[in-house]
Amino acid sequence: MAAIETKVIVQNEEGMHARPAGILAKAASQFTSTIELCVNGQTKNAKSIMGVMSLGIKGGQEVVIKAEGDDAQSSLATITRLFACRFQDV
Amino acid sequence: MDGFIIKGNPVSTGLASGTGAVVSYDTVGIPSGKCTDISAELIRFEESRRRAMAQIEEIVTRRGSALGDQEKQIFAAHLMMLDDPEFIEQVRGLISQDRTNAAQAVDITAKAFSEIFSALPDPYLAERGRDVLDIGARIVRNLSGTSHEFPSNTAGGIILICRDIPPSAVAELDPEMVRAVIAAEGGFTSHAAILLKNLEIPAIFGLAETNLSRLDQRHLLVDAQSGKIMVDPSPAEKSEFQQRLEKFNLEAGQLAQLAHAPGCTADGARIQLLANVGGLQEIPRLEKVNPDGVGLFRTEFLFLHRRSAPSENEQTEIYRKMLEAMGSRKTIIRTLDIGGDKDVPYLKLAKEENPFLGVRGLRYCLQNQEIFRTQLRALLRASPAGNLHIMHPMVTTIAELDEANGIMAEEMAGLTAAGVAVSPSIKVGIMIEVPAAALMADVFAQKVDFMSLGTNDLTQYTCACDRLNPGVKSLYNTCEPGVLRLIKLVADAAERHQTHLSICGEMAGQPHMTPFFLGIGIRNLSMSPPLIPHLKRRLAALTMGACAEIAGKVLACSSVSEVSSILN
Repeated sequence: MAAIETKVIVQNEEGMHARPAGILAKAASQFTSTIELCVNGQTKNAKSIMGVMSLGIKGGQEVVIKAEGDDAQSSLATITRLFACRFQDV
Repeated sequence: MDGFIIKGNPVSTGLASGTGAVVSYDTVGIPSGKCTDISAELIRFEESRRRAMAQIEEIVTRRGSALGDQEKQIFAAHLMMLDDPEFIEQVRGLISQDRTNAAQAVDITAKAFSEIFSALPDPYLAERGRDVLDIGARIVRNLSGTSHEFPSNTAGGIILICRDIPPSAVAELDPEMVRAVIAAEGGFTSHAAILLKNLEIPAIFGLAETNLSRLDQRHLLVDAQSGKIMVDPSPAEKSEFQQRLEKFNLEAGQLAQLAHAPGCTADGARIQLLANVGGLQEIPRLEKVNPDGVGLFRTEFLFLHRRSAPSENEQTEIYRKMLEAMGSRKTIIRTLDIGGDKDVPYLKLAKEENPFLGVRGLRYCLQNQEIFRTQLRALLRASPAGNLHIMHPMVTTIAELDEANGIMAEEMAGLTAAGVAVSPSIKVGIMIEVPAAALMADVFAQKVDFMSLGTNDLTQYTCACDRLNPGVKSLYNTCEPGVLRLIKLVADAAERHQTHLSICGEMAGQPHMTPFFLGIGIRNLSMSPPLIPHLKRRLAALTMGACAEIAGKVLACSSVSEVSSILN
C-alpha cells in the first residue's frame, strides 16, 4: 500500500507546544496506519508527543503529513481537521 | 557556631521556621552494570513506567484545584511522555539490544530527548527538556525503589533545600511537613513557583549560595517576604521571628475566615466586592476569595500575542467558562479595549500621535465592526451560562452608546432568527472614564443598566496628564479634588436614576479610599482578587454615618494633601 501525504500550515500562533502536540499524538494513536510529520527534512512519528514537540514547529510553518496503512485516508482527514481548527474545538 | 544569612528571590511569600533538609531531585546513583535477564528487565521498566503514570494521575486528582490550566497541561504532557511510543521503543531497544540496565536506558533516553528540546530556539519548547528529565528521573526512582528520604524527626517541620525542584515534586509535597522550599535555581514564573504559591508554601529560589550542604540539618528561619534565610539564629532572633510568624499566621487566618463572610460595614450595610479578572487562569484564585461577582473581565488578553483575531467559537467558549464559574453572580465582561498604544499587527491599529486621545475602546470597535460583531455574538451565545453584563469602554457620547446598542440588537436578532439561545436578562453598561461621559452621567444612567468608573483613565483625562509621562507624574493623582468631585457627580446621577454604579479602577482596592466611596453612595467595588479579604476587613471597621462625614470633608478639600490628611 502506497503512502499518501498532504500539506498543512500550522495555524495556531504558538506552534506545536505541549497541548496541540498532545492532541495530535492522541488523535494519531487512534489509527493503525503509520503517520509521520515532516518538517525541514526531519521526519517524526506523529503518535509521539516528544517526537512532534522535538520538531520545534512554529506557527505559520508548513508541515507534510504522511500516512501509510489501512486507515491512512481517514487519519489524514482527521489530522488535517485538527490543524485547521488550531487544535481548539476537540 | 555563629549564625549567618543567605539571600535569594522570594517566589512564594510567607514566613517559616524549621530544620533544613537537603534533597536531590537530580538522577543520582544509576547502576552501570549490564542486565542478565532481558525479559525481566523489560518487565521492570514497564512496571516502573506504569507506576510513574499512576503517580502523576494521583497528583492531578489530589491537587486538582491548586493546579492552574498551564500546570494541568504540563502534567497531561508528562502522562503522554510516559506513554510515548518513541520513548518506550528507545528504552526497550537499549535494554534488549545492548543489555543496558533499565535505569541507565531510561536515563540515556531521557537525556537524549532533553538535549534535542534544549537546543530548540522556542524558549517554551526548550524548557520542556526539564519535563523529559523529570519523568525520566521518576522512572529511575521507581526502578531503584527510592523515594525522597526526609529526616525521621520532622516534628518542627522541615525546610526543603535543593538545587532545583520539578513541578511534579512540588505537587507531592506535604505542606504540613514541608514548611518552606529553598532552591538554588528556578525563577518566579516557573511552574514550580506557581504551584508553591497556590499551595501556600513559602519559597525562595535563585540563592546566592552554592554550597547547599551547609544548610543541612541546621535550624533555618525563612523570610519569604524579603528573601532572607537566617541560618542558626540567636535566641533573640528566634523569638522576634516567632512573633512575626504568629502575627502573620493570625492575619492569614483572619483573612481566610473573611473569605466566606459577606462584605459588610460594622453597621450592617452590604457592600459588593467584585473581582477584576484578566483571564480564565485566575478562576482558582477567585474561588479562594469568594467575590460577589466579576466587576471587570478584560477581554484584551484574548487578542494579544497571536496572528489573527480569536474566532467566535473560541471566544464563546472562554466567556462561557467565565460565566459558568460565577454562576448566578454578576459577571461584567468588557468589550475589546484596545488602541494605538498596543502593537497587535492583525488589528491594523493606526500609529497615532497621541494614542490615549485616539481610536481606543468603543471607538475602535465602532470603526472595526467585524471584530466587534464577532465579539458580541460570542458574548450573546455564551449568555445562557450565567449572569452576563456587557460593558463598553471609553464611551464619550450618547450617540456612541446608541450605535453600539443598535449593533447589538442586530446581532441578537440574527442569532434568535437562527434559533440560537440567548439569555433574556443580559445587562448592558458603560465605563465612565472620559470626563464628557462623567458630566453626562445622568443621561447615560437612564439608558444603561449599570455604569463603572475607570478611575485611572478618568484621572488621566481629567487632569490632562499622560499617566506614563514622568514629567507630569506629580499631576497624576486619583485623589485630586477635581477628580473626586467628578466621581461624586457620577455617583449622584446613578443614585438619582437607581442605576448600578461600581468602581473598577485601582482606587477601588485601596482601603484608605473606602470611606469616601461608601460616603458618596457607591456600593460596588471591583479589584484584584487578593485584595478582597483586606477590603472586607476594612469594611468591618467602618460605619456608614462616619463614611458620609468623611466624604463631606473630602469634597470640601482644595488639595491632594488635604484629602490625604483626612483619609489617612
